[in-house]
Amino acid sequence: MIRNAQHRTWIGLLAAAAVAVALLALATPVTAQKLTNEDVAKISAGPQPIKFSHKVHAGDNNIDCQYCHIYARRSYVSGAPPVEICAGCHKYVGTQLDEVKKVMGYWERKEPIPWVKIHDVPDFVRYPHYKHINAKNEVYPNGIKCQTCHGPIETMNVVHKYYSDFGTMGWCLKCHLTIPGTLEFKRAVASATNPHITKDSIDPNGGYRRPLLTDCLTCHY
Amino acid sequence: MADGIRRRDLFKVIAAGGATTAAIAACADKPEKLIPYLLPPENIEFVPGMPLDYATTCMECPANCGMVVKTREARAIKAEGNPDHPINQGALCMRGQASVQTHYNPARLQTSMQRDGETWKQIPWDAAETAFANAIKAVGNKSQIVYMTGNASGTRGGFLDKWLSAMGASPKLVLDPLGQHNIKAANQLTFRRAEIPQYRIDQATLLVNFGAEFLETWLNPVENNRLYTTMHAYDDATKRKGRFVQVGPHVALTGANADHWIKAKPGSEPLIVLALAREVLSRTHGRAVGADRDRLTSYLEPYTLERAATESGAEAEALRKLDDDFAKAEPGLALAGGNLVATTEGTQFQIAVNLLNYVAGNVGRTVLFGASRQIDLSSSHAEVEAVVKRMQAGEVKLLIVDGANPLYHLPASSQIAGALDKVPTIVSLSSAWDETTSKAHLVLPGATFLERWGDAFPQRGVYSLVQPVMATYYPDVKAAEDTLLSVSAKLGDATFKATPTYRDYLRQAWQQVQKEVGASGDFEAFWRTSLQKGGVFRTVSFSSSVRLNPDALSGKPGVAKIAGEGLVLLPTVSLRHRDGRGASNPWLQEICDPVSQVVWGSWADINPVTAKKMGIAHGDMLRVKSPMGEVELPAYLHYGVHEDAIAIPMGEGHTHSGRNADGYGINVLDLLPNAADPQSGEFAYLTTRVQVERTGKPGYLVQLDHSPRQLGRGIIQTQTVEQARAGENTEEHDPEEMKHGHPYFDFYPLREDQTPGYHHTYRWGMTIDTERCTGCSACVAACYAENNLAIVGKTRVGLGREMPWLTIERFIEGEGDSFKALMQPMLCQQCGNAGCEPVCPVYATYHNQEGLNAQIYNRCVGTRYCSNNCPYKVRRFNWFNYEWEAPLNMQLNPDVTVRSKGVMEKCTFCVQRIARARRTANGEGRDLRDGEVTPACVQTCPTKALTFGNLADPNSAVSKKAMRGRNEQDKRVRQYEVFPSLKQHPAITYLRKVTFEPINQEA
Repeated sequence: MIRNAQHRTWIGLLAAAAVAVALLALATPVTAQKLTNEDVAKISAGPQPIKFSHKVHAGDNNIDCQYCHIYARRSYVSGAPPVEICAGCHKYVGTQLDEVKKVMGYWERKEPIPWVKIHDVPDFVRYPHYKHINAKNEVYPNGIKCQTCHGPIETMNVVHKYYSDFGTMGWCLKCHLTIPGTLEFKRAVASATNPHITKDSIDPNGGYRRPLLTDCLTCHY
Repeated sequence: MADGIRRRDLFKVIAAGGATTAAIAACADKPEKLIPYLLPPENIEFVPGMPLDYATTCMECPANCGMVVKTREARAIKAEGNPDHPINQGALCMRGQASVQTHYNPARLQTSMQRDGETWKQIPWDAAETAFANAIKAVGNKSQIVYMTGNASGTRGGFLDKWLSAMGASPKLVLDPLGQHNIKAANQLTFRRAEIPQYRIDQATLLVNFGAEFLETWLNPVENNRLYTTMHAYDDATKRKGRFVQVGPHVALTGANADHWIKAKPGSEPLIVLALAREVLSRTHGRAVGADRDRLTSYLEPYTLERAATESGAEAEALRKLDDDFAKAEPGLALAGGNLVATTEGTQFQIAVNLLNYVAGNVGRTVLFGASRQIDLSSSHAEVEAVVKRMQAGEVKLLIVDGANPLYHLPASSQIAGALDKVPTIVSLSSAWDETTSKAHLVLPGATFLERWGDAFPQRGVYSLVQPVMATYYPDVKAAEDTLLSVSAKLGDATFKATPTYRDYLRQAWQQVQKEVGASGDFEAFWRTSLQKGGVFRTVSFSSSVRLNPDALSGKPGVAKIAGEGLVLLPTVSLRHRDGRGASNPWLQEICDPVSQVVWGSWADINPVTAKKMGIAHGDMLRVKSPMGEVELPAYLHYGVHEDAIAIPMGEGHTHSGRNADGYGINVLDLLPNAADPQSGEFAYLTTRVQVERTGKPGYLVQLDHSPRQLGRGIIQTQTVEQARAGENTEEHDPEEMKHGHPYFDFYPLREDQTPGYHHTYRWGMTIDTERCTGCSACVAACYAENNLAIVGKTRVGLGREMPWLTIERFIEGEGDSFKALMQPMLCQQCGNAGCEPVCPVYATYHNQEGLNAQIYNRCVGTRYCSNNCPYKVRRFNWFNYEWEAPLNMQLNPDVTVRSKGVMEKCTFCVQRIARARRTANGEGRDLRDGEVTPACVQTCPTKALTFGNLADPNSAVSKKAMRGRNEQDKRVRQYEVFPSLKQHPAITYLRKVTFEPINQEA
């Protein structure tokens, strides 16, 4: 009986502490849920050194993303465009514009442009751009578009995070577990009907080529 | 209130509170900058985020192994062996692995400097070159210019000669304290071949070694390790297993691998060698020697086995058996070298060894001449000493040092310090601070071998190229050769007009190489292919018919006379620092010496019998005094040292080599008299006795082995050759377990039993053949390099906070002279039913479907329950945020998270390599092939003791070795898992060491 009473006191104390923490947290005015996309963009990034418009480049002028982001199809990183690529066109194009003059100023001073990073994943995540760009399956017969994760960048004058939870683990897995055609979806279906997952029930034609995306070690090492 | 809230609700409340605070914290993160390239790199193969490999040649020691350096974003991050290179065949030793840290040494010289009284003044590079040129101009008699270098391999030697003769300077001096001149001189006298022969250790059936630390640093340790296991390792019942006998006063790593150690008095080896030769001659009736028989018989007459036994203190019975075996060996091989046979009569001793090999018919079979090995390019001590004398007499006006460190590498008794003071101008072209550079007047920092051009011709038919794998890390740094070329241009010298850079000079030299190897076609194409492959490698056969020169038989070698009183000082070579050049490398300081398990500092090996007599306990601070000086260092009680001797490794005790070297240990050369062998000019290491006494202070000795005995736990198991041949599985069960009369049962079912197909397609596993493992510790260095392991320093290792994921465990069995030091790598066993997994409260460690015991750093909250529950003690905890002193952080592998404070870490079979390889395979629409993924430790192993692969594939190499299948269990012979009674089901299978005599494990 004595032991029981002690047990209750502990739970009571813990609960009280937890409620206090929760109240404190709720009292803070800004919470993640209430933020709009613009708010997130304002908070997570300072002003860009150049008022670069993706709308003008990728939207109005229809320039392919990978014309500038040259490493996306070959590497883990997409690659911020080398300043030479900007200068390659802007030696001739739009030279009268103030922002272009700024870009050419960097080029002439031989200085890299210190862009502010908008889309960032934590350092303990390995994200291969090239595996996504080159992925082909029933849902994406021509590979995954940049917009799938980055949103309609070609409509943005100032780039911001289109998905406010961009780069969080739940956000990645949302696609990987719900889109029919992904291996994980097949596996989830298979394991729901058959607890004994076998090689054949997932991929009758081949082996276990792709990493299991619900395995932490796939991205975190 | 307590009744009103349920446990689940409580967790929800806590979780909600935590989530809100976490989101706010995330918003407060500072945005990162995204800095683009100005110009995309010209090299189309260069892709940020992807590795780019360059083939080059290791310049850490004169062995010149082929190397492939992995770069990321134009930074060298990892060195691996070049699989095409005939010398090392893909493997590297620990010093080669650590060369990237030498490259990012915090003690590197960063800018050109001029001495300004006691301080240094930074000057522009051009001004420094002008000052150098003026210093040359200022010397009236140009022969008073002396050049000392640490490296003269390949084209570089000839280049330096040409440059020095253009300047009119004295011939160059090449400093290497481990030059092996005795061997060269003895071969000249005995066979008229002044070279170091090629020792075909793999061909021998009996190897007798006198002092040569051939598995550690002697000649070419990577190749030696490979050849040695070919000869010695038990593979299967059909293959012969060679025998290895070590004779001498000390056992280090090489000796610890021997099947038998014959303890002999220091310096008494010549008598044993000649006695063996005498017996072999009488048994074989001189078949191998022909006409020289009578002469040899009479020469060897006084060297009886009985005399050798009496004077050396070795057991007569053991000698007789050795002699019997040596006469029967088809063929045998006697190796000799290293410091412990470098007496003032070292050449005479080597002649005796030559005689033994000749008499036994080994010359031409296991001793081959004609390889033109370039391991012996160094100047002898006598040559260096002559120059030191000139310095003392004030006859040297300008001294140029380039990777040479005479102030450290010459004994204090040679008066080198005083001699350097008499040189008015010292110019240093070295790449990092060292003792000699600290005395320089002008410093023009040199590039490391990862930043410069060069080549090496380690033996005939092997032309190995050195190319820069990255730009010079500091802008004001230049390859020494290029500095020399600029200076000669500044002086208006026309010798090198056609080749303004060393790359041009090298290309010119390689046009000659193209002719030599008979490669036809365009030079550009030849040059490019050579760079890509790391060089040109041709198999050449040696014509090595040599005849004995009877005049060599003039000496009357006996027991070397060692002056003084007290114990004989044995200055041994350090596995980790060689002669001391790797001491400023933190990996090499923190990785333990495998036999003593000591880190960070020197120790003195002393026999327990002697120690007892002198009242010395393990770890006591000793004062070791010779007529030349005295040092203080801790005592290490070691069975493997003669009672009449004390062994101290070289390589420590620096004063000006950066904070990772300075103040750790002592320099044993401070105790040695300045003596050389008169015939070869080689420095005589074994010449003095020392007085040893306790200081009464405790010594600061930090060891990684917390228990030197395995106490019958069966961690390293052995079986005899007979048992292995008979197919007998000598499984050793935990005595505690066997009290029940049968092994324990599994408490939990195995995952595969519970869920068929649990280990989907892959089940990663490893086998470790303890019979092949020599304990060379290359795997440990490779692991440090690949996985961003933190260096914690001496104090924290002393507190048990060391961080290696892979260690060489060493256990002592037996006592006295017949002791055995058993070694094996210990790393995370990736258990099937791991003890660490169920105790993790946050799922940071779990068993994944590929059989890896995952460790997710960002989930870990640092309870350390897993480590407490791990019976193998392979988990390491970050007690602090460990820092990498700049620029060592440039070496960090971007594929591996750097762990922060409060996080547990451990080996996951280099999961980053598995992930990369699988992404490639996936892109090609196939499963991973066997051997496509190799963890860093497996990749670098010189003896192929480690095998990694997929246990789910019954045809993979690892499955065949591990024999884990249900129907294979009964056929197991050498396979065992560590601690089977704990039912953790490790994925690592060890293969028992096979010995000639049984090694009993004491409980």
